Amino acid sequence: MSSTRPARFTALVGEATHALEVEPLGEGRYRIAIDGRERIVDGRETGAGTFSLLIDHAAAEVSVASRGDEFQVAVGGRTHRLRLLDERARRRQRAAAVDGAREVRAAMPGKVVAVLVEAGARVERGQGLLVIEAMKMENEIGAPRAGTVSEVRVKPGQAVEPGELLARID
Amino acid sequence: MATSRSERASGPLFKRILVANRGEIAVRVMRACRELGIESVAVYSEPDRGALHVRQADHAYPIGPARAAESYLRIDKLIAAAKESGAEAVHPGYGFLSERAAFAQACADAGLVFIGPSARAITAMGDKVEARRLMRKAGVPVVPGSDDALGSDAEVEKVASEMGFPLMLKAAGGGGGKGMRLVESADKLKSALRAARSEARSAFGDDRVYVEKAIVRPRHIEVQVLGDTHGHVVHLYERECSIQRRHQKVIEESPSTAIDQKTREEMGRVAVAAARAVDYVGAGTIEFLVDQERRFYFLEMNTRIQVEHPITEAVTGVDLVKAQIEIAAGWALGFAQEDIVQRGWAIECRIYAEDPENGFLPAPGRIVVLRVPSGIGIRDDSGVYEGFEVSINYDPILSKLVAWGSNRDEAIDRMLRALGEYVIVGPTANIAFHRWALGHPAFRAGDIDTGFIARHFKPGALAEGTEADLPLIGAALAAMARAATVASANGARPPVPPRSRWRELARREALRE
Repeated sequence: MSSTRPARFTALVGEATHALEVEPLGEGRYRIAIDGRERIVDGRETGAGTFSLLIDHAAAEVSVASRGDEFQVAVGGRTHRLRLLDERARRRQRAAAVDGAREVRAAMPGKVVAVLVEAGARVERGQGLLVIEAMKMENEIGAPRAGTVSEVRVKPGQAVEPGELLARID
Repeated sequence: MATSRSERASGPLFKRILVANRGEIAVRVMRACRELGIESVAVYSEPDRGALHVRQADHAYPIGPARAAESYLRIDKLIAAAKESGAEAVHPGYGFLSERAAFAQACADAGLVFIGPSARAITAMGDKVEARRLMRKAGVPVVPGSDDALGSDAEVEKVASEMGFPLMLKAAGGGGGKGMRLVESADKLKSALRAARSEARSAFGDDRVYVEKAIVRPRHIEVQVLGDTHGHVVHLYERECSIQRRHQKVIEESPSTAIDQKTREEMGRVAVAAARAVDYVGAGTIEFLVDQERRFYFLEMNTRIQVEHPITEAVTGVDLVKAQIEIAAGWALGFAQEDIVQRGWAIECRIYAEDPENGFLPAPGRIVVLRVPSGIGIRDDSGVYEGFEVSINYDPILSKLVAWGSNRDEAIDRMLRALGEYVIVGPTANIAFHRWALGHPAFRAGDIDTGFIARHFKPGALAEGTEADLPLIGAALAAMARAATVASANGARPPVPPRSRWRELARREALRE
């Protein structure tokens, strides 16, 4: 058995934060500690992104897609979204956290159909900033905080990708 | 007994059919074509070059950019593709141009057979006020309300005060829930009327509305009909589609728990009369609202194949799409009313790329993992595949999962089992929502109406029952596997030394194998 030190992650699930420790024990077995609770997991990748899990002989299956530090995990028909940060990423994330709420980013791919505010405008938290159309549905994007719109990065008619910066509020 | 194919063949079927649609329904139609020995022609927009319906087809023609208005809704391009491909007939599927009389007419003018009813029947049923008038004349019960589309607000107020509240305002120019408002009391009429008119104007270019008595806790039950060119019209019993969000169906079943045998026979008889009133040819659906006293009222007729047609196929054994094609070729129906029996129970769950926990908003994206259920009694009519990019441009339906059982309980249990096998990663899908709905005691008891989701579905309802650690464990293992892949691809000496410990560790793990 290897005596290497375990990998450590910080998992961000919605508002919650969990400390994760993963130590490979060889032969597809892992010691996984979640907030200090330890479990021995027998995990086999049975297809790209799909893992068969045996935990104390209880069988489960999870399917995972990831981009950067963002993970989508399907369990029992439900898709869970979480971020997994290694220690360096966690430090970066802490530094950026102050700025996070100032940025308005696209949650899904779509097309901007309307921009409701201009740079310089005062907005209240939740006030509509722009309208994005995806799959024939229009969704209004609200301000994450009260403040002054310092820039609007998109124009009506423009296509946007998930995560793309739409506007900033200072 | 049903007549054999050779006996009723009054001529050859088509050699080639153009399918003027995309997604699962295009694939469904092409499957029917292949079984009948007919070649299929796909049409596709630019982003759909790699779509499943193009892969399924025998021939394929590009028809323009992503926007439906510039591709799938362009009658001129579709007719041109049909002529160029040598197709003799056009199947419109559902949605897009399927209920546009102008398309049926354009096909006829170009010498192509439109697989559907006449342009005249589409027009008659498309105008909601005209359809109500026609149905009343044919002895079909309609929801009590105004006979005419009402242009002025004063007329609406007069009719409303005579009829009483609650009532429904509906757009005269079209359906689909647009321009529709429930008005609980007289003081809410003015603002509801303003909203309904403005919505109707932008959706249909016509702000006339009509007034109907509101049915309290209605159930949506529809009857499938088939008519041929030899004057035969039969019904294939009912489908209940009461589980809806935003006035759109998500779960359907056949038969319905809401009606007894007497009501069932009566609804079938009325549906046939409704179809006869417009000399209906092809597959069509008469939609009814059924109140708590089992009184039923005509809602509208859909003059095309329905999304939920597979549940009727499951309980009657009739292939509705093949029937459409044979009817269009001039064949007589191969069965009479008494040949059609309902056997067992079927349920359909529409699998959408949408997020039930976020207001059922569309959630497109690339499908990274797709595992489709199978086994006894399961049918999955899909329009996608692993690796396919679900586009923002079209309806977010991915597939339709159908479970058949010898009775309702078995169908529910089988559907729950199949939903448990269904894995979609990439776009958020509504699989967990279906498991919640089918697992709800009210659904199991058949105690459903169109307000089911609004009444019972609360945020967080899907969180119950999942072991909280599993997503974390899954993500952790995927991160380890990814790090190992990166490390092994980089060889023993990564160009930039990854200083994070987990990466180094994973690399060592990978090297040891």
